[in-house]
Amino acid sequence: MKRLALALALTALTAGVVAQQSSPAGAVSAAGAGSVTKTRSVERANLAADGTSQVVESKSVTLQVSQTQALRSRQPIQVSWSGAHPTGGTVGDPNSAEARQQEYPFVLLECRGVDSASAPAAQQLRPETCWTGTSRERVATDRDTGFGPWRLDRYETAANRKAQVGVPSPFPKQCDPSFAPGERWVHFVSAAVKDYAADGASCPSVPPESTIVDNTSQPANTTYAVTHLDGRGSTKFTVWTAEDNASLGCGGSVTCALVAVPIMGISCDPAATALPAADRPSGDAAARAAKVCTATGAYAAGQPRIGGSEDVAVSGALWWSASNWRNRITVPLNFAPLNNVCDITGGASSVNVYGSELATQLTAQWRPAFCLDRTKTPFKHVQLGEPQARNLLQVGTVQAAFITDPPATGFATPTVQAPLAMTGFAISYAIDDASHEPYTKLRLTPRLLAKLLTESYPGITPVRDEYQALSHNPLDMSQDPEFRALNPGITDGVPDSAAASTILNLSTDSDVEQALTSYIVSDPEAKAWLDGAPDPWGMVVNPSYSTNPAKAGHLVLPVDNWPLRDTFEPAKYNASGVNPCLQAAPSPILPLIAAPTARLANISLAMQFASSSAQLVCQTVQDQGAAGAKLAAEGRQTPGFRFVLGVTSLGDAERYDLDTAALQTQVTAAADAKLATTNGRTFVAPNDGSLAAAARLLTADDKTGTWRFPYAAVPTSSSGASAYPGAMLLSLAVPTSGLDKLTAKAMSELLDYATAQGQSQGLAVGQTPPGYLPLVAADGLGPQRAFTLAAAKAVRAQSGATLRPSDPVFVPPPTTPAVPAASQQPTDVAHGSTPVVGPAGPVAPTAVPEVVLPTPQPVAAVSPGLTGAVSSLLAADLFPVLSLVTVFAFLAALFLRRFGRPRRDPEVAA
Amino acid sequence: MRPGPAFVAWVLGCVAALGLWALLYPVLIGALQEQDAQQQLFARFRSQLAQATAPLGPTGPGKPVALVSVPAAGVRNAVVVEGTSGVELEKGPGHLRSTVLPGQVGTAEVLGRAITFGAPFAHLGELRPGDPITVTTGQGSFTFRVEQLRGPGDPLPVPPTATQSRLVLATASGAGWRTHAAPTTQLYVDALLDGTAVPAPTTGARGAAPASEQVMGVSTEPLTELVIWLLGLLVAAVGAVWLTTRWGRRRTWLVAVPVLLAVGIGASTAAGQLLPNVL
Repeated sequence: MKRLALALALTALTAGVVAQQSSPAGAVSAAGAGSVTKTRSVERANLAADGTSQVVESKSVTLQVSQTQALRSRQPIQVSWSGAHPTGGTVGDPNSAEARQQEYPFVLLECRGVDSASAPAAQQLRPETCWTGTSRERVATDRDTGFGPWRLDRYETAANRKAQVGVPSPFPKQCDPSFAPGERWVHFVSAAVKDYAADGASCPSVPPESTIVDNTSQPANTTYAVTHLDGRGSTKFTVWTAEDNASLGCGGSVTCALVAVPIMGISCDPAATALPAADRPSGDAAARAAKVCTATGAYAAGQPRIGGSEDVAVSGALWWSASNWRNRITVPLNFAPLNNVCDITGGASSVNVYGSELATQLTAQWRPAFCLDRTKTPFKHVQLGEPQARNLLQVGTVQAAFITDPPATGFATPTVQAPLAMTGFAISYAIDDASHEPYTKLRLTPRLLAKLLTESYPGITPVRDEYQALSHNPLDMSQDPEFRALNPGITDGVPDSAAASTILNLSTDSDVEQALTSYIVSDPEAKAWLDGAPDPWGMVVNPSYSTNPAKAGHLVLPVDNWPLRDTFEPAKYNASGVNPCLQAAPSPILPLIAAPTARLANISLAMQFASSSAQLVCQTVQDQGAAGAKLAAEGRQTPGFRFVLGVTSLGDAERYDLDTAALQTQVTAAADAKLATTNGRTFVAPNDGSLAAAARLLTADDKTGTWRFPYAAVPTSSSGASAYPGAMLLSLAVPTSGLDKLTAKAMSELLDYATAQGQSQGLAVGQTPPGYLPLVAADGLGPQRAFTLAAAKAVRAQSGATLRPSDPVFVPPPTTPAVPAASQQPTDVAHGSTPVVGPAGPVAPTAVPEVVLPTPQPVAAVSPGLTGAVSSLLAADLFPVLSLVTVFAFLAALFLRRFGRPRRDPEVAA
Repeated sequence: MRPGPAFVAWVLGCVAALGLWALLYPVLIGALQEQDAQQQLFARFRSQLAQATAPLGPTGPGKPVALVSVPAAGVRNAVVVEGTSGVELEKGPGHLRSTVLPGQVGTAEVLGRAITFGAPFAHLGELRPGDPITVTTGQGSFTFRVEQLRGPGDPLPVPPTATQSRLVLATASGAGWRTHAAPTTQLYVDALLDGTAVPAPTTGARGAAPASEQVMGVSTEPLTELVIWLLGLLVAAVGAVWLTTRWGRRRTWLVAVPVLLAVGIGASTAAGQLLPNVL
C-alpha cells in the first residue's frame, strides 16, 4: 500500500512537471494548488443464502482533483478518474436530477463534515450532510414488492432495512399521501442543523437553495458524471461555499469535502436471514426483489438513455445506500477566507475604491490580507464601469478608482494613475466540438469578433429569410467558413444558432469595450470588412454597423459602449405568432439575440454554465394569458451541444476555469485569400508569457500620465506577434492632494503592496491570482513598478505631485539619456537670494538683462505643493497683550488712587 | 526714596493711556488714514484709466494698479497699490510685485489687511466658491469666480493653463475671535478668471518681492523713522514739561497738545508700519 502511494505520488509529480513544461512560458495556471490523487479498491459482492460472498465485480478507482486549497465561491475544480465502471443510459446534463437514473454513474457530491470515525457525531460526514439539487435524489420508493434494492443491501444496518425509514411523522399534509410499501427518505441536515425531510414533488420542506426548475438558474453541483468505456472520465465540479449555499454552509469554520461515489451497484443480501421476518422478503416477491437487486444494467455502456427502464440497483439514485457509500473517495476541501471575512473584522474604517471589474479577482484575494492585518487600512472594491469611476474621481465624488485608460486629456487635478498588474479581457467560451466534447483550442480573428459584435450573422432562419442585407451571410459562426478553417473539428451548425451568432457583451460603458474595439479596428482585415468590403466568402457587415465614412451615420470605433444599432423586425415571423411575445409587441430582434448585460460577472456566470442570454423564449405567466407573457433568456444549453461566447475579464476566466480563445495578432498570408488553415496567421492565447510580451509593448504617455497599449503595433511590429492583444494595464488612480489621511494611507499601502508582497502569484490570501501579471521587471514591467512605488510616496505625501511615466527615473538607464530638468516651475525662490529691497522698488525694466523669469508656463508635472504656513507672534499676540496691559494698568491705577492713600498715612506719621 | 503710590498710579495711567492709543490708533485713526489714501488713489487711478495710462506691468511702490470689488466680502472699488510691504498696505490692498497683474495669464496675488488700517480684507473668510470678484486694470475689467478658500497645509491649486488667470487674495486670519483680533494664520482665496486671460507685457522683468512683502511680512525700514519720531516726541514732551514751569499748565496745554498729538501720530504711523503687513 505504501509503495503504491509512493509510486502514485511520483507519477503525479512527474505529470505536474511535464504539464508545467508544456504550458507556454509559465502559463497562468493553478497547478500545484493542492491537487490530490487518491486510489481505492471498490467491490460489489452479493451475499448468498449460504452466507458466502460472491464477488460480482471489483475495481481500483483512482481519483484526481486539480485543486483542494484556497477554494472560492463557485469555483470549478477539475475532477478526473480512471478504473470506474463505464456508465450506461447516459443523459445530456450530468447536473440534472434526471442524471441520477443513469447506470453506473460517477457521483460527485459536496458534503459537510469530516470523514473520520473518530470525529464527533455532529461533525461526521454522512449522506445527510451531502447536497443534492432536488429532494428526488434523496428519496427511494418501491411500489412493487416493497423490497427495493436498498432494503436488501447487505451492508445496511437492520434499522435502515425496515419498510419505512426516514418518513417524517406526522406525515406532512402537503406531501403525497399515497404510501409505498417500501420507502426510504434520506434527510438533508443543513449547517444550521435544520433537518429537511425531503420528499418528491410537492413537499415544501426543502432547503431554500434547492434547484428551481428553471434553466436560467445555476445548476446544482451534484454531478452524476459519465465514465467512458475505458473506465476514465473527467468533469468540472463547482465548489460551493456558504456564499453560494448557506444550507450546506462550507467555508470559514465549517469543514467540507468532495465525495466521489463510484456507483458499483448494491451488494445484495436477498435472503436477509439475519433480519426479523417482517423485513425478509418471501415467496414470489422474494424472487422478484432479488432479481431487481442483483441486476447489472439495462443499458450497454455508453448507450444513451431512451426510456424509464434503468436498473435501480446500479443507478445513481442509490448513491446514499451503504453499498455505494462505503466505496466513496473523500477529498477534504480547504476554502479561502470567505468574502465576508472583512465585514466581520470591522469594515468601519475601510476605504472604498471604485471601478474596474477587471480587478475583482485581484481585490478578492488582496482584501483579506489588508483587513486581517492590523497595521494596514482595509479597503473595499465597489465595482463600477471604468469611465464612470473616472468621472466620479475627477469631480471628486470618489477618492480612488481602478481604471485602465486615463481620461482623454489627463487628469485635471493632481492625480497619479499607478499600475497594479497587467491583466486584460478574454474571449471566453463554452463550445462543444463535432463529437460533443468540449472544444478547448478556439482561435478567433478580429474579423470574426467584428462579425459577432455587429450582429452580422442572422442567427435564426426568420431573420435570414426576411433581412435582405444579411440573407447571404452564414446563419451563425459555426457555419462561417473562416471560423471553420481556423478551428478544425468544430461542429457544423448547432441547435442554438442564435447563441452561436453573437457574443455576450457589456451593455455599460467600459474600458474593456474600448480595448476590444481598439483591437478590432487596428486589424486591417477587420477594418476593411467593417468598412463594407465582403470577406473572401462574400459575408458582409450588417449595414447598421458599417464604419464606412461615406455612409451617413456610420459607426466610429473605438467606443466605450458597444451600441445596439440594428432595428430590423422580421414582420412575417412576428405576424405568424410563433413567438406570441413578439407578435404582441414587435421589437428589433437582433438586439434581443445580442442581449448585452451590465456586468462582466454576469458574462462569466453565463459562460461557466453555458447559458445563452438570447431573449427569444416567450414565457407566459400562468393565469395572465398573453398580457403576462414576456421574453426571457434561452438559458442553459445542453452539454455536448454548447456554443456560447462572451467577453470576460482574464481574472474571471481563470477563477472560473473558463476556456479562452487565442486571438490573432499578425497575418503573413495573402489578405484576400480564402484561408483554409491557420498557416500564416499568429494566434496568441492569454498567459503570463503573452501578457509579458504585451507589457513590453506599452508606451509611456506623459500627456495622460500613464502607459498605453499600442494596438496599431500589434499587427505590424515584430514584437507584437507574441503579445496578447487583449492585455490591459490595471491601474489605481488616486489624487495626490486633498485626500483625507485615512484614504491617503490606505491607497499608498495598496500601491506599495502591488510592488512588494502582492508580487507573489498564487491562490492564497494576499497573493496575485492567475490572470494577473504582477509588476516584475523580468516581465517588462520594471518601469511600471518604479512608477507605482513613486506614486505610493506621492499619495502618502498628498502634496499635489504628479508623475511622468517617461521620467528617466522610471525608465531603465539605456533607453533615454537624462534630460536636464527644466521642469522646475519658476518661482520667487530664484530671486530670494538676491532680493531687491523693498521701498527701493523694482528695478527699471531696461536695467535688467533678459535673463531671469522665463514665462511662468505651468508645467503639469510639477507639484504645486501645499500652502505654506507663516507664523507671526506679533500678529497673533500684539492686540491681546496690549489690551491686557492697558486694562491691567488702568485697573491698577484706579486701585492705587482709591486705596493707596490710607496706606500712605502711617508712613507720613512715621 | 521710594516712588509714592500717586506717582506709580500716574505712571500706570500713562501706560494705560498709551496702550489704549496703541489699540485704537491702528483701528480707528488708521482706518481714517486708509480712507483718505484710498480717495486720493482712486482719483488718481480714475484719471489714469481714463487716459489709458494705468500701469500694465511693474510700477513704483504705492502706485495704484487696479480696482478690486468683492461684494460678498464688503470690498467696494478698493484701489490696489503696487507693493505689499506694511507701508503700502496702510493705503489699501497691495499687489504682490512678483506676480502678474490680475487678469493676465498666470497667477496674480493681492494682499490686504485684516484688522488695521481700514481692514479691507477683514471679511474674506465669508466668501464662498462661486462668489464674484471684479478687478479693473488698465487692460479692462475682469470677473473672477472664487474656487476655494485655503489655509496652511491645504493643497495649492493647479497652476493655471496658458489661457487662464488666477487671482489669489491673501490676508491674515485665525480661528473664531482671533480673525478680527489676533490672527494666527493666513487665509488665501483662489479665484479663477471667467473668460480668457489677457497676455502679460513681455518686456521687462517682473518685480521681486522680498520676505517683508510676502504675507505676514514685517519690514524694518520704518524703524529709523520711528526712532526719529520718538526722539521728536521726547523733545516735545521735555519741552512741554519745561514750558509748564514757565507758562503754567493751561497755556502749555494749549500749545503742547497739538504738537504732541502730531508727533505722536507720526510716531504711531511709523510704528504701525512695523506691524505684519496683512494684520
